[in-house]
Amino acid sequence: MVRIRAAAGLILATALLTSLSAYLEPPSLTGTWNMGLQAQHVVPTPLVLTQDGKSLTGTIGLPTQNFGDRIEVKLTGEIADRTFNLSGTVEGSKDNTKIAIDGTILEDGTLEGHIDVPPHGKLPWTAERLKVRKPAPEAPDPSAWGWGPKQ
Amino acid sequence: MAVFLTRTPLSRRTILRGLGASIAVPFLEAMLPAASRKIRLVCMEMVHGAAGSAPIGIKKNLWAPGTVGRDFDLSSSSLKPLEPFRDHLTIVSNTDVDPAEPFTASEIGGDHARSSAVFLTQAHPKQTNGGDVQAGISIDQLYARTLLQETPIPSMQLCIEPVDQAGGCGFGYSCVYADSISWASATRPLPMIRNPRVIFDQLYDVFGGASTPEERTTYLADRRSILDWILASATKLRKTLGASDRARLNDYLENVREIEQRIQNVEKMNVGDAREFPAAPAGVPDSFSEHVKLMFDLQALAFASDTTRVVAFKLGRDASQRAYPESGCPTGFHSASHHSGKEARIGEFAKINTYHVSLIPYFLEKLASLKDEDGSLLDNTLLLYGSPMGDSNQHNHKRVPFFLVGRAGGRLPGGLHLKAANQTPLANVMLSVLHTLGVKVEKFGDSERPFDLTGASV
Repeated sequence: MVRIRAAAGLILATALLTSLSAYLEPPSLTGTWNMGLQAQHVVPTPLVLTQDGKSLTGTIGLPTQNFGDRIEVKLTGEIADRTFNLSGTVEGSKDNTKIAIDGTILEDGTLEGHIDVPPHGKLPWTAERLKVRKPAPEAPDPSAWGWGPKQ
Repeated sequence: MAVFLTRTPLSRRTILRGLGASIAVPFLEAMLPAASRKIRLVCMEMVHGAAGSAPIGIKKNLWAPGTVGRDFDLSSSSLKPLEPFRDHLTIVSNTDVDPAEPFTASEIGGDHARSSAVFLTQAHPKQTNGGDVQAGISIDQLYARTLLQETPIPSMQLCIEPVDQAGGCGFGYSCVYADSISWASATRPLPMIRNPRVIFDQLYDVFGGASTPEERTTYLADRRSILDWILASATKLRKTLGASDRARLNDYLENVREIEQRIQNVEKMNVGDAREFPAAPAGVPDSFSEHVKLMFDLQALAFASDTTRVVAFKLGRDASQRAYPESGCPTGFHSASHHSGKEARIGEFAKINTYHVSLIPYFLEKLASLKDEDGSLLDNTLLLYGSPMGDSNQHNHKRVPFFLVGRAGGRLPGGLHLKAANQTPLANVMLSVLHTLGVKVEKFGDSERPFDLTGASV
């Protein structure tokens, strides 16, 4: 009986410690984020990050002046507690433009912060983790349904 | 009670023929009882979502009314122009079009480029610039397939904005995703027709069959009416009809002539460079409302003559900067949709939404005035209107604007505002629309279950 009680206590303590550490430690930034740059309207922008301890690496797909085009900028940075910063250089730009991002992980797991993109200045942004979706089902073949005109 | 018929009914497929043209006639009492009630389906897409999908717009009921059920108030809504038809109206609010959202990092930002392909398919388009496009079969085409080609034209695809761009339209998406809302299969988008003249000629088989190059030249040079071509055939038919049928046939042919004249007038005016859209075909009116109304008239003629029962109608093109001065908002459509979440600008965008909706009663009145086998054409029509985008300032696809008009032959009660539970796929509603039309499918796009359109749960 004593052994059973001890085992139950151990399990309970482990569960408590696990949830406490999960609460205290911010979730990893690793993954794909749908970032909304708050310019004249919200510009959806891909932010892909990898976190290794306090170190961050990743990319941001910045929109260009041509509709539908993007330029990918490599980022490096650091995270401390729930705040982080990233920086990178727009390769091939006239003056090797440097960009800087600061951000915070909010309680609901979303992100917010500012991005400094010369000459546009400092823009606020928010980001949500890109939802993991089921792979698209196989395209249906209407000719196999046995009704309707043949294709 | 037994009904005895003493004469052979006139065929529903009666055609007035002449050299170079043929006209299918409208429903006439002499056709009873051969004709059977069939529901006409019109699927209308407007791009850029609605002001009423933005947080402030939701709060101010700029699209969805504040009250659920029958006692909804449209006074603050862009749906206000539909007030005279509220008994035919089913508003479904708070649904999402998740297949239009990005699924991968490279798809982020491509909302304008892929949304239109999602609206009637509720399928996520494959990101490609090439010919290997893929989305899903669209709701209009699913319905058209069940009709087993009962009509001369199985379905029609119409549009207002130019849809003739080739190649890629940005973010790695083929332009065809933004150009077409109608998909015959997951890999076969259908071309949309912008020119009313092309539709008119298609409906009345102008130049079809026996026409010669000489006749074609004469028609184009003289701008004679196609009614002149089928005169003998119409005179012969009139002799077999009763008084009310004769009057109905005359009204219909006058209607055909009136629309033909309007197209001819547009073609006459659109000569030279003075027009607003010099690149557009001569048959395309510069005025948005004139163009939309002409397209509605052609749809009404097509339904009245049972030439087709299915229409997909694309009113806009994503990222279009077209201005609608008649709306009271001078800003281009795309810029107006990027309202920065500011209340005043959301209000301006709502004016454009209201203007677009305000054109629909013209069509509904027309359908209500045309007799069908059982009641009016409006009684036997289901019009679906919406956008695959929600808050256009965010480029999201949540809480999208959507409504149905028409009772689909008594299958829908109408006069309802139905608010879906959070995160309900619009595909659930589309699935129920298919069931209402008698299409027996268990799933459509990302649907989870049918959505009750009868209001039983309200």
